[in-house]
Order: sequence, then structure tokens, then C-alpha cells
Amino acid sequence: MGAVLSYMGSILSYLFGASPAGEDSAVDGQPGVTAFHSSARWQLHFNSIKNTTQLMVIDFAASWCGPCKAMEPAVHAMAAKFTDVEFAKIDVDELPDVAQEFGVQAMPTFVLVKKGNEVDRIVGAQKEELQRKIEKHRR
Amino acid sequence: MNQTRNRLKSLFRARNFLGLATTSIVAASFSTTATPKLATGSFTAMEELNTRVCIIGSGPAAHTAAIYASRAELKPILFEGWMANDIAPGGQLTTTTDVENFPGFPEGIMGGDLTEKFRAQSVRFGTQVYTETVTKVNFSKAPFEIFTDSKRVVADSVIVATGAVAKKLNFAGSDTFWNRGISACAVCDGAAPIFREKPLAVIGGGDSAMEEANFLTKYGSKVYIIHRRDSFRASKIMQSRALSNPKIEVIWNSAVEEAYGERVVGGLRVKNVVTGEVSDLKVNGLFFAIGHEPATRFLDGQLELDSDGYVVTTPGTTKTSVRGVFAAGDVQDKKYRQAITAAGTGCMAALDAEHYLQEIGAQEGKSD
Repeated sequence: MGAVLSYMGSILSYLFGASPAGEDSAVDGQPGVTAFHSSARWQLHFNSIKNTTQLMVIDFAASWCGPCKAMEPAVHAMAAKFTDVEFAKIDVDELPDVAQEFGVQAMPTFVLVKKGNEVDRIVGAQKEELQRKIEKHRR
Repeated sequence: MNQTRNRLKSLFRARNFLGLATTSIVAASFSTTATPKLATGSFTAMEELNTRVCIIGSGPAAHTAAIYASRAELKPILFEGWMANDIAPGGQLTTTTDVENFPGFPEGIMGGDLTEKFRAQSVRFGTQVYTETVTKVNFSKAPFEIFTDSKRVVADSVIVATGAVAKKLNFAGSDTFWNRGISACAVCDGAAPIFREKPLAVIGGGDSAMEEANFLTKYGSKVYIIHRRDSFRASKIMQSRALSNPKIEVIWNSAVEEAYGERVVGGLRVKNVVTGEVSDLKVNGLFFAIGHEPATRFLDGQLELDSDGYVVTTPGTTKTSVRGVFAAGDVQDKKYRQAITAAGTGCMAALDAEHYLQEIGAQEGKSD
């Protein structure tokens, strides 16, 4: 129990620690989840990851979506924990074409992609389900 | 030994009320996990906490109570829930956009922003907020017990401010297409690209239905308001805003019989309840805006409820059928159901609780 608590504590201090400055691709300056604000950048990034076997989790959210905000800490925690998984965040109002391409109907929707293909998705703020599926697909 | 057994007993009890698919906590208690897991279910013992006042809820009622209680140095514990009733912490306000009638905001404020401010204010004065859902309570004797997945709180007084949940309708296809075109929150889901420039429909006749229909016209090509009567109960200003919107068309005296489609909703069969005529309406989205149901199921009958499930409170107070337990906000308000009236009753609940604590403190000769 003590070990788990201190582990959680280290995640929290990691999350609230100093954030790297620089490029616009970090959400709230926190490393782990990369936010995309233009279709072009997204396309570039998506193509670059297509040829790897790395799992990517795309978080489709909206700025006024309550459940999306509720999921944020959990998603950041997972990004910090699963360092071999790529986490991307897309605001459906900023990039409606990308959201349309992935058939997003409700927010949040998490789409798991490997080698350019969707392997799984979670609709709704389902913390445990998201974690389970990430663990399942990450290797 | 007895203490451990009692703790295990309370673990068992707490488990029974879970609707979640978490791992068995009893098994985990006696195994060693090599890698610490992030998700709940792998913690072993329940954390025991004590407080003078425990607040259950996350909206204006709960946070106003928390602000007053924390400023009265009662060191309140507040459970804001993790997606309790499928609503984010902050409550119903997180499911709406512009809030223009909450006093203090002449330019209006987004629902989500307002709830963030409530929370920041409670935290500022020392409220301990946990993002956990209360699964079970025990009000059979004082001090009271409140349980979540990982905590057991022993509280001298409790404020129930769990609000209400959006109602849904049941008809053929309503389950199949849930989250595939059918939703109970236009604001949450209306912005989804799948609804862009498509005909949409809202069911309802109150202020929320008007607000949501207007909101949806920003995204959809057309918005139908389907209402079962021939007049709205919405406020005059909201009605005229909706009716004067060129993208909105009202279908009076009607109810949805069926939703059909392929991957997403493609259309509705709508019945006119006066003539009996059934017609076809091509829409790609349907949003319920028909009101709410109080979140009182977790109380398991321990507080007196009225016939609609609302907590009964003594008029003019927030006192419930159990001395020391108070109720505030929509969970006990069928009539007004506004953010500001909820905030008002939240304050009353904190003051009622404080008064009660002084009473029992005096009776037991305790000093604080």
C-alpha cells in the first residue's frame, strides 16, 4: 500500500513539476500528451508513426466537455506511466476533419491506432476500460 | 483482530454496491503485486477518515455548503464523484454552455468555468475534495458512515447534494443508437462532426430544450424540437429565442416512436399524439432535454423520499428525516432547480449542520 502511494505521489509530482517550454505541441506544457492544432501537423505526425509498431492513443475532446476534463488527469497519468505509448489530443472543434475521418460521435472518444490502423476505441470517460485496452494493445 | 474483521466486513459491503468491473479487492488484500497498478481495485485496505461534516456532491449546492463549512473551520470532506451518474464533477452545469442567469456574471459564463470556480473557492478555504463516487452510506446511527471504493468516512453530519440526472426516453432503437446519434446532452455531443450540417432533433419543452436547440443550430443544418404538448413551459425569453431561430422547426403534440438507421441514427418515426398519425423524420442526431431524476438511489432508502424520488426536507430548512443529515440542491428541489437556488440551499445546509454540531457538542459536553 505504501509502495503504491509513493508511486502515485511520484506521478503527481511529475505531473505538477516544471513543464518544458518550447513547441506548441505539449498540452498545458506537460510532456506525455501531444496536442495538435493543425491538420497538417497532425497528418505529418500520423504518417511518421505509421511505420512503427508503437501504439498511439488519440484523445478526441472538446473544450466544454465535462467528461473530457474529468478524464484529463487520468490520461496524463497513463501517458506518464506508459512511456512506450504515444498520446495525442485533438480538439474536435479545431480539427473537425480529423474527427470526422475517425467517425467521432461523442466526446471523449479514445481511438487506439497501430501502424496506421485502428485497433480499438473507447467512447466515454471510462478510465479503467481505457487503461485495460492500452495494456492489451501496447506490445 | 476484531478491527481487521470489521474492516473486511465493510470491504465486502462496499463491493456489493459497485456497478464497476474492478478486480476483487478481497483477493488483492492477500496477494502481492509486483508492479503497482494505476487503476482502483488494487489498493488493499480502506482508508479511514473522520470529519465533522461530509458533503456528497459537486455542484453549486455542494460547493457553497463546502465554502461555508470550511470557513466555519469544520474541515469538511467533499466527494465530487468520478463520473457519478455519467456526469463529470461539477454536475449538471458541466453539461451546459452559457449560463446567463447566475448572478455576478453580467457577460455570462460557461457552465464548466463556473463549476471550476466553485471548486477553487471550496478548496481555497480548506475543503478536502476527493474525486471519488460514494457507493454506500450508513445513516442508521451517529456518527454516520460514507463509503467509496477506497475510503470509509465517519462523519458527525452529512450534507447530501447529489443533484439530478438527465432523463432519457425508451423507444425502439433508443438503446441501439445510444451514443450513436442519440444523447442526453446536446452540449457534450452536439459538436461532434458526425452531426455537422445534418438535421437534428431535440425532445423537450423547457428552458433546457430551448437552449440546447439553439446551441445545436450552430452545428446542424436544421433542428427540430419535438414536444408532446401544444405549448412550451420554457420562459418567454427562451421560447422566443428558439421560435425566432430560422433553423428551428417545432413539431407539436408529438412523440418519438422509433429511431432507425445504420451505423448512426438515420431517422425517426414520430407520432402525433392528437391525430395518431405517424410520420417519418430524417435526422442524424436526437437529444433528450426532458428533465431530470434526483440521484438518490445510493441512499438505499435511508432518507425519506417523496413519490418522485426527491429527498424530503422540512420546509424552510435542509433537515431530512435523519437528524444530522441535510440535503441541498436539486436532490431535494423539484420546484426551482436553478444553480442559484441550489447554491442558496447549500449555504443553508452548512449553517444547519453547524448549528446541529453545536447542539450535539453541547449535549455531550464536548469542546472543540
